[in-house]
Amino acid sequence: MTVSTNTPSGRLMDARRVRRLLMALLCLVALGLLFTSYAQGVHRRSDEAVNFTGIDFLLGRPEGRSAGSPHPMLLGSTAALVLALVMLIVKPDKRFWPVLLLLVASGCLLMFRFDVCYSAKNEFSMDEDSLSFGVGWILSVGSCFLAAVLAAVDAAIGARQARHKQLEAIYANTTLPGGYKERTLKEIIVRDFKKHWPVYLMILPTVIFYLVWCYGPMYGIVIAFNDYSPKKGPFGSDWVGLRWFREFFRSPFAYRTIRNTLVINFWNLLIGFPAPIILALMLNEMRNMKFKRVVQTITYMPYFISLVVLCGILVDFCSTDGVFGAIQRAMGMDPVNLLGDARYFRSVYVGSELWQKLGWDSIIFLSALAGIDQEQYEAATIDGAGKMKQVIHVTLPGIMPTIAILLILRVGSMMNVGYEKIILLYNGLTYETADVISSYVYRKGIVDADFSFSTAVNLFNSVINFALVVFANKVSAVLTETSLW
Amino acid sequence: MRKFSRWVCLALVLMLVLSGAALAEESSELGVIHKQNYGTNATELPLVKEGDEPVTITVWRDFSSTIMEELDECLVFQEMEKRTGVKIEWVYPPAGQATDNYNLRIASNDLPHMFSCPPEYSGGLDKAVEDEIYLPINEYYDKGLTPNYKYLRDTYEEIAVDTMLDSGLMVAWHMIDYVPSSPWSGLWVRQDYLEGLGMEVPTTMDEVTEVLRAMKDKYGAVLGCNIKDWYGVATNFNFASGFETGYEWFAKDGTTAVYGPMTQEYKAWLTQMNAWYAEGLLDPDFATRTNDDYNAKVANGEYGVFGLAYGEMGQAKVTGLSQNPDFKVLAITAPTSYEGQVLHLRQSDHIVRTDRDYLTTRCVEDGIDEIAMQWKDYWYSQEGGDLCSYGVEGQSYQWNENNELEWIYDETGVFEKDDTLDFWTVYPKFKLHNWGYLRDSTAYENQPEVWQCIAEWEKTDDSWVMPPVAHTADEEEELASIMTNVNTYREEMTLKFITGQEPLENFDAYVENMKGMYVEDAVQIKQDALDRYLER
Amino acid sequence: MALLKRTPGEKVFNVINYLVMIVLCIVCLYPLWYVLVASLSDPVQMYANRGILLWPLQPMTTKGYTLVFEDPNIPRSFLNTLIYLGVGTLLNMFVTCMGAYGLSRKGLFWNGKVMKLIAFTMYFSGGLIPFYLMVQQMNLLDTYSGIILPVLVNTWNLIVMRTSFAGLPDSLEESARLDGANDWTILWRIFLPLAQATVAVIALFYAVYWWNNWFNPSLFLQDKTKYPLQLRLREILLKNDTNSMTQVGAVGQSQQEQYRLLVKYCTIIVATVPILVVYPFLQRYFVKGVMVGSIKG
Repeated sequence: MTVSTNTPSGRLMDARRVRRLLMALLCLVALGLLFTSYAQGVHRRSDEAVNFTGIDFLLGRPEGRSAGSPHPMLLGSTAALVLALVMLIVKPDKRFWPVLLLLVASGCLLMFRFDVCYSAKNEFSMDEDSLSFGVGWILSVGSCFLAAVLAAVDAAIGARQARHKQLEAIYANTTLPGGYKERTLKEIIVRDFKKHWPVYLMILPTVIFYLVWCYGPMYGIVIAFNDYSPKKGPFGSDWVGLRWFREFFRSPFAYRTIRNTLVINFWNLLIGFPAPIILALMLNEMRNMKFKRVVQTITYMPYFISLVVLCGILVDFCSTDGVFGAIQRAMGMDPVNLLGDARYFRSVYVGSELWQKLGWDSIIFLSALAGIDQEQYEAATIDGAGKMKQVIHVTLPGIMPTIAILLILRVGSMMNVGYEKIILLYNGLTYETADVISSYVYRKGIVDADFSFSTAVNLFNSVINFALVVFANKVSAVLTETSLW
Repeated sequence: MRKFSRWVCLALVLMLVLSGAALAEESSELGVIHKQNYGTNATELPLVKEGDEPVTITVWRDFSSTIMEELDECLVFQEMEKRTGVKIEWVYPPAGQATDNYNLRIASNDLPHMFSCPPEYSGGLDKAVEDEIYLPINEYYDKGLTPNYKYLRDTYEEIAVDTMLDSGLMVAWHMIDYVPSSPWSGLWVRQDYLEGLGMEVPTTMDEVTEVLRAMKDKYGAVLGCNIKDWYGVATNFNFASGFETGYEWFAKDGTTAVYGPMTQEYKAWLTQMNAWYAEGLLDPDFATRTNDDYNAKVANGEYGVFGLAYGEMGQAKVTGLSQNPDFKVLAITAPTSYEGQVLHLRQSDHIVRTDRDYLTTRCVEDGIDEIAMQWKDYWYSQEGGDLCSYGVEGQSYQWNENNELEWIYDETGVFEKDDTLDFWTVYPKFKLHNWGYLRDSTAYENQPEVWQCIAEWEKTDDSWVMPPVAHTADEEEELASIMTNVNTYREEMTLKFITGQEPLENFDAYVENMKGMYVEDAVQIKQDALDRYLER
Repeated sequence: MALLKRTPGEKVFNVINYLVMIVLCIVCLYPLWYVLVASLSDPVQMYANRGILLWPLQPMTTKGYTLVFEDPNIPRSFLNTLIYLGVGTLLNMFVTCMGAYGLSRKGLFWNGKVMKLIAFTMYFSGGLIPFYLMVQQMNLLDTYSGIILPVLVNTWNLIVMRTSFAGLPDSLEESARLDGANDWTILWRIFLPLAQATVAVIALFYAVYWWNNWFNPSLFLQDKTKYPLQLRLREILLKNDTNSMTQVGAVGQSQQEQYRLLVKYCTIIVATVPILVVYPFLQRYFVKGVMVGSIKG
C-alpha cells in the first residue's frame, strides 16, 4: 500500500475527531449509568427487596461492614473513567493512556461484580442467593469495554499515521525509484524473523523457561481472591472477592506497616545504595593489590553468616549491658537499649543491613568498574584531569548503566522488607517503627495459617512495586538512556 | 528440768519421725512408676494373621534424632510389628519443613495412611473431614472396631468430652495421659542467694519485692522475665496469676471466658511490674532478650528469680555450677498478692493432649481402613500404651519386686555405643514421647530437682486455665482476624506500660482502643465455644 | 602509572582510604571470627557467654565438628552440592548468556515485549503450591533435574548481564559481522571475554545460589541421597536442637542439649568456609579490563 506524499486530508482528521468524540461519549455514558441500578437483591435479615445504584455503592450506602466507605473497585473505575475523559479532552494526542485507563476501568467494573457476588452477605447485607446485577452495570461494562476497543483502534491507526509522517520526513529528500514501501505489520514481523532468526533461537530457551516455570504457575494468584484450601486447589476453593484486602486495610495497623516498610526501604536506599558504590570506587583506587584482595574478601564475609547469628550478636550489642551500652556509659550518657526504643530501630536496621551487605553489593560495581576502557582514563589524564575529575567524568559515566539498572530494580522492591530480620530484631516496644507488612502477615500466619491472606497482601505489594518500576524505568530512560525494556 | 528435757526429747523424736516419714513419702512418691490398669486390653492379636494379605501402613512423622536414622530402629515399632503383624513404612519431611511438606502433600493428594502430629489443618478438623483428608473414627467406633478407645471414653468422662468435636465427630487420635502431666514450666529462685541473705522463700508479691531488693544489693541479681518468646508465657502467668489475670485467654471460675489483657486486674499486674522495672529490680533489657541470652543470664547468676522450663534447667545448672560451685535453684510457686489467696492459673496441660495422630482417607482407598483403625486402637490398650510408654519389657525396662519400674536400657545392650547414655538422649530408641497413645506421663527419668519442682508447681491449682475448646471454621477465621490486631496491640502496650514509656494512667484509653478492635466480639466467640464445651 | 607523582591531596586521600578500609575489615571480620571462635569453645561455658568473644572459651573442643562430620551422609551431600553447582551453574550461564545477548540486540521486533514479560515475572508469581504442582506434573519430583531446571534463569542476573552486553559498543558487533562471524561466535568469542568481569560476577552469583540452596530440595526431594550439603547441615542442626518444634517439651535435659549451640556454629563454618576460600580465585577477573582488539571511536 503506497501513500502519497500529500498531507493527510481533512477527512482523516474528522475521522479521528469522531473516534475521540465517540470515546468521550461512551465514558460519559458509563459515568452516567452509575445512577442506575447496579445490584439488586434481598436484605439479608429483613428480607425486603433492595436495589442499589452505582452511586449508592460509591457513597457506601448499603448496610453492612462496608457502610460509609466507597467500594474500592467502583472508585477505581470511576477515577479511571474520569481521567480518561479528561485526557481525551485536554491531551488528545496521547494514544496509549486512554487505552490503559479504559481497560483498567473495565477490569475494575468486572472485579466489582466478582467481589459483590462473594461478599454481599457481610459487606453489603444482601442475601447472596438473591443477588442479581442490574442492566446499569451490564451497560456500564459494555460501554467501558467498547471505549477501550475504540481507543485501541484509534491508537493503532494513530501509530501508523505517525510512522507515515516519520518515514515521509526521512524520505522527503531522497529519490528512490518507486518511492518506498510501506509494510504491514505482518510483513515487518516476517522480515524480522528472516533477518534475526539466530538471535531468536538463542533467546528461545530463556523464553521457554519463563513460560513454563513463571507463567505456568501464575494462576496461583487467584488464591488471593478465595478462601484457599490446599485440597480444593486454587480454583475449587470458595471465592471471597476482596475480603483479604479489606481485612488488611481495616486493620488499625495497616497504615503503620505500610509506612514503616516504605520508610525503612527509603533509608536503606539512601544509605545502602551509594555505600557499595563508594566502597567499589575506593577499592578501585588502591594500588596495593594484595591489600585490595584481602579487603574485598573480608568485607563480604558478613553476607554469609546466618541471619540468626548476626542478629544475636546485634541484640547482644544493643542491650544496656552490651557493647553499645558500654560506649554510651563511657560518653557519660544513660545507656539506652537501642532495640528497645522505637526511635533508634531504623538506624540499627539500616546500619546492620549495611554491615551485612556492603561488601557483597560492591562486587557488581567492582566488575562494572573493571569494564571501563582504560584508554579513557589515559585520555583524561592527558587532558590534565585530577583524580576527582576523573571519577566524575570517566568512572561514574562508565558505570552509570549498571547503577541505573540496579537502582530501578531496587526501587522495584520498595514494598518488600524481609520478615526474618525484622522478626529477629523487633519487639513490642519498637512495633511503632519496626512492624512492617511482612512481619504483620507473618504474625497473622501464626494465629491462622492462611495462604490467601499472604497471597493477597503480596499481590498488593507487587502491584505497587511494579508501578514503581515502570515509573523508575521511564525516568531512567529519559535521564540515562538505560532502561529495563 | 527433767520434765522439760523429756518433752524436748519427745518433741525432737517426733520431729525426726515425722520428717523421716515425710522424706520417705516424698522419695517413694516422686519418680516412682507403678503398674497401672487404666485402660483395657480388648484387641485380638495379631491383626494380620498368617496367610492374610500383608498390610503396610505409611506413617508421616516429623522426625530427627541424633541416635537413630530411621524410626524402624525404635524398639517400640519393632515389637508392635511383631505383635500386630502390620508393617510400618515411614515418610519424613525434611527437618524444619514439616508445614510446607504437609501442605504440599495435601495439595497434591499424596497422602500417607497416617499423619503423626502434623501441623494444623487450616479451616479446622471439621473441614478436614469435609475435604476428605482425615478419616473420622465414628463409623468404626460404632462397629466395635476400636474397643480400647471406647473403653477409655466410656469410663472416663473427661476423655469422652475432649476427644469429640462439637459436631460429634471423632477425628484425632489424641495423646491421653492417664497420670495428668505435670507442669513443665514455672518460677525458680536462686536458693544459694536466699541462703546467703538469710531470707525465706517468698510467697507474696511484697516478699518477692524484698527478696529482689536484697538480691540486687548483695549479688546484683534481678528478676528475669522473658516476654518475647514462648517462655515468657510461663513467667507472665507466674506473676499475673497472683493478680488473677493473665497474658492470654483464661476461664474465670471455669465458666467465663476472659481475655486477660482487657481486665482491670491486668493493670494491677502492670503496676507491679512497672514498679519493679522503675526500681531496677527487673532486667532492664527484658524486652529484647533472646532465648540464648536469657539462659546465659540464668546460668551466670545475673537472674535471681526467673521463669524457666525444667528441661532447660539441666544445662543451666551444669553451666551455672561450673561458674559458681554454690549454684542452687529452687522451684517456687507463684506468689500471691495477699496472704491466703488461692491461685488458679499456671502452666498446664490436659489429660487429653494436643499431640494428635490422624488416619487419612487413603486407608479407605487402599482398603485397609478397618485394620488401620484396629491397629491404631491397639495403642490405647493398656498393653499397647505400656509398650509405647515404657518400651519392651526385659530390654528397656522391667518390673521389680515392689512392682516398680526400673529402667534397664543401659545394661541390656540396646545401644552399641556407650557414651552419653543419659536417658534424655537415648529415649527415642525405646519409647515414644509425643504421639497419639495412652501415655504414662511419669515414664521418664528425671533429676531429683525436676521431681521437686513438679511437686512444687502442682500446688497451684489450674481450674481457671482455658480448656481445649473448639471453634467452627467461621469463628476461627473471625477470631484470627481480630486477634492478630489485638495481640499486636497487647504486646506493644504491655511492654510500654512496664517500661514506663506509656504512663499507667492511660490504661483505660488502652482498653477502649482494644474494644475498638472488636475484642469483645472475640470474647463472645470464646464464650460460645466454652459454653459448648461445658455442655458436651 | 607508577611514574605519576601523587599530589598531597591524593596522599591524604590514600591514607584515609586505607584507614577506613582497615576499620571496615575489623567490623566485617568480627562476625566470622565470632562464629569460628564459638564453634571451638567449650559448650558449657558458651551457654553462659554474652558480649564480645575473641578467643575460644576454655577448654577448647572440636566436638562440634566431630558431631557434624560423623554424619555418614556428609560426603555424599557434598558431592551432590558439587553436582548441582557444576551442572547448574554451567546450564545457568549457558542459557542466561544466550538470552542476555539476544535481548540486548537493538532493532529486534520482539525484544522489548519479551523484556516486559520477563520483568513482569519478577513481581508477580503464583506461589509455592502451583510451583510444586508444576514440578510434579512434569515428573521432576525427586530428581536432579527437578532441582536444576526450575531455576534455570534468574531474572536479576539476566537483566544485569543484558545491561552489560548492551553497553558494549555497536561497532564491535558490526566489525565482527563484516569479518563473517555469526551471532554464536560473536557471543562466545568476542562479547564474553570483553564482559568477563560481569560474566564472572554472574557466575559467582549463580554458584553462591547453588552452594546455599536448600529450600527447593527440601520441597522436591524425598530421596535423602540427593540432598545437597546445606540441607543435610540443616538437618544436623535441627537434630541437635532439642528446642525445635519436633521435640517440644522437657527434652532439654538431654546431655545432647549442650552441643546445640556448638553444632549451630560448626555448621555455619562448614557451610561458609568453602565459598570464602574460592572467591579470591575469581578476583583476577575484576582487574581493570583490557579491550582486546577493540575498535576506537
